[in-house]
Amino acid sequence: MRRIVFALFFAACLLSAGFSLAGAEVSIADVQEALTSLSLADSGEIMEAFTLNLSQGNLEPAEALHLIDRLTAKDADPEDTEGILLSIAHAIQDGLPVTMLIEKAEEGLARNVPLSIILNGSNGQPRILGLTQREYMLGAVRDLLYSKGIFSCPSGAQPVSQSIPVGRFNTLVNETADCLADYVEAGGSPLEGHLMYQQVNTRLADLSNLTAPAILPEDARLVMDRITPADLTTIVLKIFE
Amino acid sequence: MRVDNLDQSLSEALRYEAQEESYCIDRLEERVVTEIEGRIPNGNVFELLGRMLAPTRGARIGQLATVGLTAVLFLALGLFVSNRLPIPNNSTGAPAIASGMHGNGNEVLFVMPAPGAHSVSVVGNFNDWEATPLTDTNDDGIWTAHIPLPPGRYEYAFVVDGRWWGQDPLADEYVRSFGEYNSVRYVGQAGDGA
Repeated sequence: MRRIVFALFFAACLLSAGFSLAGAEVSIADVQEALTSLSLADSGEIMEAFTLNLSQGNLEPAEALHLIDRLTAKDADPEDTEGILLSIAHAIQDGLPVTMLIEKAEEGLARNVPLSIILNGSNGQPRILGLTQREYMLGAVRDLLYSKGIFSCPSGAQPVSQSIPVGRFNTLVNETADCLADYVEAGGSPLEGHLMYQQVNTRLADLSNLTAPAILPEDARLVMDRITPADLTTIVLKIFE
Repeated sequence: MRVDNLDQSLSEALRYEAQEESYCIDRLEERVVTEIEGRIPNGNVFELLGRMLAPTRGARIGQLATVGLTAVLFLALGLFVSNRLPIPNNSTGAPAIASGMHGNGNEVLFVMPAPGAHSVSVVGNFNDWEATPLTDTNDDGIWTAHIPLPPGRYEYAFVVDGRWWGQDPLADEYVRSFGEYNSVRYVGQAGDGA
């Protein structure tokens, strides 16, 4: 009898371990289900954008699900919840990298920052940039690189002229925008273009100096050779308008 | 009388023998020396000593067995001692504090001095801003955690008894975020000696 009980217990343990392992794999369907459960007013747009990014591999399902679960647990105003997800969805639709936006949303939620501030920031002292301003920053940096003749090409395609594979290009955009956002949140003046330029230069150099470089040195050089302090001032000034 | 006769007889016999075998005695010393020289091996002193001290075949096998057994015993003793002695290991050694990273890949050491604290954790963009607990095993108020991280730039802060603390003295830089400070660590910097 004891042997039977032990065997049953062992089998139950194996089964539960198996289910746990299977549960660890988050699928796109899990993310869609979580989005549906939020009862969003504009769920179609958000669902479409997230599904697109997930299917293209630009966003990990587990990462997206973690954010959605956190928003659900927050039990905040549904409009604010939707605003955060919409902000990310818009960035996806605009072809922008969303790593910075998701990380900032996660951090704000962990810090118990009100969702409205996570979304829209605050003009007080110190200034806080919300997802809206950061999304703008990403777009502005991306457009700046385009205007300087630095483009992205699909992964796997043979780069021509000054095109950079999309993953590397997005990392450049993400890090440059994040660096400018850090500068603004640290109280830096938008008129000190050379300071911003120096800060961006340091960030890109540090990342290209890693043993597994997050940014290739030639990509960093290409950007720093082409952008100017005045370009950065132009971008950041709009945040202050 | 009898003895005198015997002596005389012997003396005569010897004289006779000496006369008969004189060819054997002639140049006897020279021939003996030549014979000895012929048997002395050529070579240096050490070779000569080696040959002189060389044991018999049976003794040689015994010596080899003794030497082999001794070597095995010393090897076993060495292995035992090496397992018992606290040999410094890079994954736990103090120099890791200076570099902030070490070991296979990039295991980052997070250190937070918080005497009297009940709980200390670290949150950052490497763990989706979910708390990873630090431990203070010897109750000296120094809380630590080793977290394996791939090369990259990481923003983080400590949470001490629920209160955020974003200024880690070991950080590479600091940024403002949501009006507070975050520490920044670059993991896998070239020349870190990881």
